[in-house]
Order: sequence, then C-alpha cells, then structure tokens
Amino acid sequence: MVRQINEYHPVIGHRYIPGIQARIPHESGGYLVKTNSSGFRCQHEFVNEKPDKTFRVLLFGDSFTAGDGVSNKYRFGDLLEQRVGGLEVLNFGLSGTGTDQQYLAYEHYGSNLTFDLLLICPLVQNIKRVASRYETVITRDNGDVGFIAKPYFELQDDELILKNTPVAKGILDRQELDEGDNFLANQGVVERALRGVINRYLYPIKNLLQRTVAYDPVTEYSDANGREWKLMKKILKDWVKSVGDVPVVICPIPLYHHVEELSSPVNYQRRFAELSDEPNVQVFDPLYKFLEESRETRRQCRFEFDQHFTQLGHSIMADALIPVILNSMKVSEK
Amino acid sequence: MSQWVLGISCYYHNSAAAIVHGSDIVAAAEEERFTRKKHDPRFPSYAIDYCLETAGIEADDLDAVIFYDNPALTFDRVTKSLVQGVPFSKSQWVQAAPLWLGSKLRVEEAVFRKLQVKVPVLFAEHHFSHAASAFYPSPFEEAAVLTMDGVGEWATTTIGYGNGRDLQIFEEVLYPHSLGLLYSAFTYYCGFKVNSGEYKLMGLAAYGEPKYAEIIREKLIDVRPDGSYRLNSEYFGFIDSDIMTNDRFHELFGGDPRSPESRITKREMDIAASIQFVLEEAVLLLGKRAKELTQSSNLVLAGGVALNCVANGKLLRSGLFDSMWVQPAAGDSGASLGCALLAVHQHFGVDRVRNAERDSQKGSYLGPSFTNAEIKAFLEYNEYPYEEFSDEERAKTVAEAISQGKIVGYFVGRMEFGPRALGARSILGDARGTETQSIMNLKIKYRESFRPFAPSVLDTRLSDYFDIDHESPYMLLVAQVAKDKQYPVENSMDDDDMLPLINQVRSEIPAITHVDYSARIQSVGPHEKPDYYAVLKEFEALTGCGMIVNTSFNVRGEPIVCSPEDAYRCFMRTDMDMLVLENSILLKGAQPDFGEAEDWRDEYELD
Repeated sequence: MVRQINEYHPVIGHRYIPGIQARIPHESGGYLVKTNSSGFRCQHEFVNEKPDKTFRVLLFGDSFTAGDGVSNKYRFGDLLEQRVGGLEVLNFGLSGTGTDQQYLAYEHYGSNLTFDLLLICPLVQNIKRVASRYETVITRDNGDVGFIAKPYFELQDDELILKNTPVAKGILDRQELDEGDNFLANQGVVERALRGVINRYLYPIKNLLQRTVAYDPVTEYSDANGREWKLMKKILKDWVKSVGDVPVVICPIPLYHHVEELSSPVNYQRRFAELSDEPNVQVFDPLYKFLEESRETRRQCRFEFDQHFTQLGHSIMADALIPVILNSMKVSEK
Repeated sequence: MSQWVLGISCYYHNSAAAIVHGSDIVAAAEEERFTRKKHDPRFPSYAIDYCLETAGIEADDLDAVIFYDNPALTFDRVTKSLVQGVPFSKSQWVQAAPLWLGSKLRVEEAVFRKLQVKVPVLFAEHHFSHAASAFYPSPFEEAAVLTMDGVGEWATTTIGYGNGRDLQIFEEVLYPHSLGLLYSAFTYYCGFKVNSGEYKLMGLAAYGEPKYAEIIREKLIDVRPDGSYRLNSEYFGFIDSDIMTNDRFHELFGGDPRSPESRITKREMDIAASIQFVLEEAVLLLGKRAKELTQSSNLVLAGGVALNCVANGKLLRSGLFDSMWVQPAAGDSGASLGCALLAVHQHFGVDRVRNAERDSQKGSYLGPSFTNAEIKAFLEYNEYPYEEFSDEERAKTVAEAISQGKIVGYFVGRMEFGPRALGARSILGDARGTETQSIMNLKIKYRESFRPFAPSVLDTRLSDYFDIDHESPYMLLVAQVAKDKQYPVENSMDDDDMLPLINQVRSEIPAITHVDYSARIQSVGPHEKPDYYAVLKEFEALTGCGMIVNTSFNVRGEPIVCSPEDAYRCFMRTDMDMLVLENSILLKGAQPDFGEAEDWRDEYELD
C-alpha cells in the first residue's frame, strides 16, 4: 500500500490532499511528503499577511519544484529559506501539472496573498503538458495507465480561453478520450514505454545514443511560432501581467539532457529569452550553475532511474537562485 | 535527547517494523498489512516507510536499526540440526541454503538497500526481543517474564525478570524442545496451516475431550515439575524434514493427518482438546517456575504461545500472580517492537518511563490512520456514494445498525498492531443475534463454521457477562460466560457432525459463546479508543446490552485491512451492510456494481 496523496480539484485538476504526512517509497530510500491545509507541499500555511521583515516568494512549478524524490526540507525552495535569512518561500509546486495549471493555482490560491516576488519554475518539458487536455496517471487499483482530464487554455484572437473547468472527474482509458483529442493527450505512455525499453536493454549506451542522434526532448521550442510555445508564452505573459509591479523571475528548469550535455539547450533558452522584455520580469537560467560541476557530479543530480532532482540537484538549484533572490531583496529594500 | 530506534523482524513469518523514541512507542505495523500477503516474511520495506512516516523523520535521523534475532546463532542452529539429520535433511538444506546465503545473513545490506543511508545496525537475541516486548510496555515496574514460541536462535522458552530498564533471562529451554513446535505439529496434524492455524486448533479444542492427553505426556513431551520439558524427537518430522510430524506420530493418533479443508471429525476435536490440555499444564508449571525464580507478583508474556488466550486465562485464574500482561503482538512481529525497546534501554541506557495506570502500548493502536480528507479523496476519486457524520452521529448510526442485525465494517483510527482487531479495523455485529455467528462466518468471513467470535464489552459491564475480574483490552484472555446468562444445552455429539452443536443457542449472547461457554474478551474503556467506546455506549443505551461482536476486518486468508481501499474491497466482496470509513458511512445498497474479472477467492491462500 502506498498512501494516496493527490485528490481531485475542480479548477486545477488535482492537488495534494490537505494535511497529510506520507512517506513515498522510492529508489532514494523513500521521501516524506507533508502538505499544508491548502493541499500543497509547503511548510507554511498560506496566510494573506506575510510575517514582519520577511521577503516572501511565491514559488510555482511541477514535480521538480514540489520535490518528487526528496523530503520537503531538501527541496530547493526550502533550501533557499535555510540559506537566505529573512526569506519565506511559499511552495505551490504541484506534481504532474503544466504551466497552465500552475497559473490557475496561482489565481485560485496565490493571487490574494501579499508577496514580494513571484518565482515561476517551469520544467522545460511542461510545454508538452500545456498543450495537452489529459494527463496520464497510473491507476491505484491495478497499476494500469489511465487518463485524467486537466484544465487547458486555447488561444483565440490572442486571448486565453479556459476550457474544461470544472474539470471532469474520473479515470478514462485511451478509447474514452474525446474524439480528436487523443493526439493531444500527453504522450507519456509512449515515452514511458520507450524509456522502459531503453532503460532495460540499452541503458549502458543510452547517453551515447542520445548524444549521437542529437536527441531533443522538447522540440516544441524550436519554432517561435509553434502552437505550443505561443500558448505557453501567452500564459506566462498573462500571469506576469496579473501581478502588476511585483517582480517576477521565470526560471526554466533544464532537463537532465541539458544538464548532462546530451541535448542542446539553445532552443528553449531562445524562447524563454523572449519573455524578458517585460519590465518586471527577469528570465534566469540555472543551467550555468550545473555546468560548473563535473560531468560525474551532474549525473548525481538525478536519481539512477528517476530523472527528478536528488538532494544534490536541489542544492545546486538553490545555490543558483540565491544571487537572484538576494538581488530582488536588495531592490525591494531600496 | 531521546534516541530514535527502528526495530525490524523478518525472514521467517510475519515480518514487521516498529519505531520508538526513547520509551515512547511511536509506530509499529506488520508488513502483511501493506503487501496484502498473509504472514509476509519478506523484509518489511513498507512497514519501515510507515514507521518513518509516522515519526516524521528521515532515515538518517535514526540512531540505530535493530534486528530482532541473531542470524549467526540461528544459522548455527539450522546447520547443526541439518547436519544431525543427514541424509534425511538434504532437501531441507537445499531449500534453506540459498535463503541464508542470499539474505538472512545479510541484514545490514538489506537495511542499507532500503534506507540508502548508513545507520548502525544492532542485533538482539530472539527471546530477549520477545521478553522486551512483554516487559517494557507493561504497566509493571518489575515482573517475571515468560516467553514461549516455536524457536528463536536456540531458545524456545525462557524465564526471566525485568526491573526498571534491566532485563535478564534466568532459564531457557533449547531447540528442538519447544512448546510452540509441539502445538504446531498438532496444528498440522489436524489439517490446519502451521504458523497460522494454531488459533483454530485452540478453538476446536473446546469441542473435544482430552482423551489423548496421557499419550501425549507419555510419548511426546516430558514435562517436569520445574516447568522444564523435553520433546521426544523420534515422533517429530521438523528436525530433519519439511513436515512437522512423522509416521510414528501418526500411529499414535490412529492414522494420517487430516487433509486440509476436509470434514473435521471427533478425532481432531479430541486431539485438539488433548494438546490444549497438555499445553495448559506445561504453561502453568512454567508460571510456577517463574514465580519461584523471581518472587514477583506480576507476570508478562510474549512469544507465539502467549497468543493462546485459553492458557493465559487459566494461568491468570491460577492465582500464581496478582497481575498479568500479555504483549498483544506476541508473535514474531512484536519482537520488532521488543528489540527496539531493548536497544533504547539496554544499548543507549535510556530510563524506562512507565505508564503505571495502564501500559505503554497505547491500546496497540500503533498502525496507520487516515484523515477524513484522505477518506474523502479516496471516495471522490472513485465516485463511491457516502454520507458524512459527526463523531456522535456516527456512534449512534453504527449502534442502531448493529441493533437491527446489520453487519458493519468499522474502519476508524490507527490500525492495530498484532493479530487481533480491537475496534479500529473490525467487523461488528449483534452478540444477541442467534444468526450472527453463522452469518459472519459463512457470508462475511468465509471461514470454518466452528470458529467462535469474540465480544467487545464495556469495561464497566465486564462482570455482568463474564466470570472475570481482570481487564482484557487486547482480547488475550478467555473467561466463562456468567452463569446467569448461560442456557443449559446437551453438548454430546452423536456422530462427527459439529453443526448441531455449533448452532445451539447457549446463552443470552449466543454469537460470542463458545461451545464450552467461554469467550475471548475485549474489555473497552473510554481512554484508548473513545470512538469505539462511544459505539458500545450507544448500543447499550439502545438495547441495554453492553457488548457487541468484534471480528477482524478481513476474509479468510486475507490480512486485516489497512487502507480505505482494502476496506472498501472487503466490504463489497462480502455481505456486510454498512462500511464506516472514519466519519464517512457507506451503505451497501447505494454502491455501484463491484464486478471483478476474476474470482477474488483465488487471491488469498487459505489459512
């Protein structure tokens, strides 16, 4: 038995079950998930007023931010708090979400809070989720792959139109997906199957293969006018606009392919750079910090089989962000 | 600062993990509850996760991990025994060697593989672990300690003494002489599963007469006045084969062992009664010896034989000791808790903090619980219809349903540690109902009809119903139904058909009255489990009866349910009428079809 940690949410699609403490079996030896009463893996309750003399950061992202694979206290958001005095990080990271759902989580839970900095950390792969209407899940009763609906945006006349809310309940199999939407379902199943085959039979030469074929895990960034990027960009721009003058840091989290130089980061870096023309936005790429480390160390930033950050990965991520946070705090003081 | 110690027991049967913080027992659970494999002997990976989860700590916060047994000594016993049995033991050796060389001697590696951090790994001795599980959580400052089981490293029975944080063992009986193995041999011979069916043998004993007691004493076990005993190894197969008994044994009792699931005859009933009789004699002598050696007025018990609540009841009534406490997880799973406490008090030298009023076992509610938010998430995720109730409304609703003859699956609070369900993962029914026993046995539990059910009774009403003046919060004592509640019946059997006997209404509370008017009692007070107490109080208010039937929430061969998923599955597979999941109540008639592709009965190996 592994404790159920997610629950249905009509706006975001899902969130963590509020107030749980669960240890999740994992190749790391297991990790502890604690959630607050709002259903997020955050050590703090989401109260409107921030504590005195505290610089409050709202942190958004997916499982890399929520910390799949590590206990709460080892995540980069928590490490930032531990390493920077006077900082409070409210972690809204939610596994299995795209930037669209993270934006909705902000609107639903974060927009009424007082804060000093909005830190958006989309895993670069989130672009695939933004373009999807369904998310793959492994069912609890028999371990089969199923699909759950998610909220999504469509771009019409340069406006975001929110679809599929309240989000439909229940688990569907592939045949039950709306006609025509099947191709929109996150291709996690195929990827997972392929990854399984490669990990099982070709693992020793997997990295070599990827480097040799110049594998790009996120081709969606190659075209500035591509449907997926236009949607992602619009979501981020609207989100930025919604916070007014509050500074925003957009920090795309690289995949291990980029960290370990198996794939080129240039495409995603170019796309995210397009967002830095907004006055209150800083696009910060933490990749450089990883690249300062040896190849061996970088490999240790993810688990053997799970590509999420290890404690070391989170630590480097936190170190990369410290100057950005300190700078924001300085600006804020002025 | 108190130490965090994780205790583990595994590789034989019923693996488990327990975590303590100083004297405080934080969590403990059997692995089978998570893996859904009855008596799972594997490394208790899920139970460890659960312990760390409840403690809210990381693996590197642990000061030590302790294993309940000394594998090197056990290996020594196994190899010496097998060498002695050559050439007959060859197949046993072929079976045992890979397990020993593969995992049993590599506990540190297994711990590291699981936790992925280096934590000091300590080793206890098997019977010290049992002794610690009995003494440290008990309410006594000092007590005689008696442990009895199949076998540990070499010891099978020990007598010791605990005082404060000190624990000593004075005398021991060594393998192959073992009360546990003797009882298991008869369990096997009567067609039940070893390490699982001993409880059934005890239940069956009440139907028989101890006709074979003399043969057992004469040929199989020599019990001496000082409580020491020796088995006659000529009659047992477990020393040099996979089978508990041999042809000589079979000849003593008139033929081959009963085939599992075949009809139970008068012969098995009498054999069961006989071995039960001899066991009780031996346990009483051991109790006497413990008294002589320690002069204590308190006795604590552990080891699988201590689950024999009939023998426990007789020991208590013997008056040898003023008070007695039995570890609720008396089998090997409880040794995980014992060794953790042993490490804290003996290795780290932490003083024992005693709960003199009750005990430190916390009602044995040491397993996982689920919040209402988790329950709702589960129900909503699966779209199962339910209604929410306050605590008070829930107690009333449950009591009312039981009073109407409904069978209720009750899943509230932390799961029990140990084999008995104590109102956290229980199936409840009306003890007054004449049909309750057969409905629960045949339509809910799918188990043998002769097996009795146990009552949960308000502690204030205990002596109204039973001849007992001692609390029994862990369902480990048996007492007679009070004379004024009994109905006289003819107990003779004309042929081998038990059913007429089983179906006799023997008392005002027939569902829990065994054939010999005994009952295995759980007394319930307001402290450890107020929600369950409230159900009993409401039931009493409605009916005037201060007791209900309480049986474990599972079907035959299935581990007791652990999670809401397990509970729902069991609810839907049986004829239960109502399911209580914390503050949510589900009615059978309102649930969607629970069609399963395969027959779920194939899922569980019969015990």
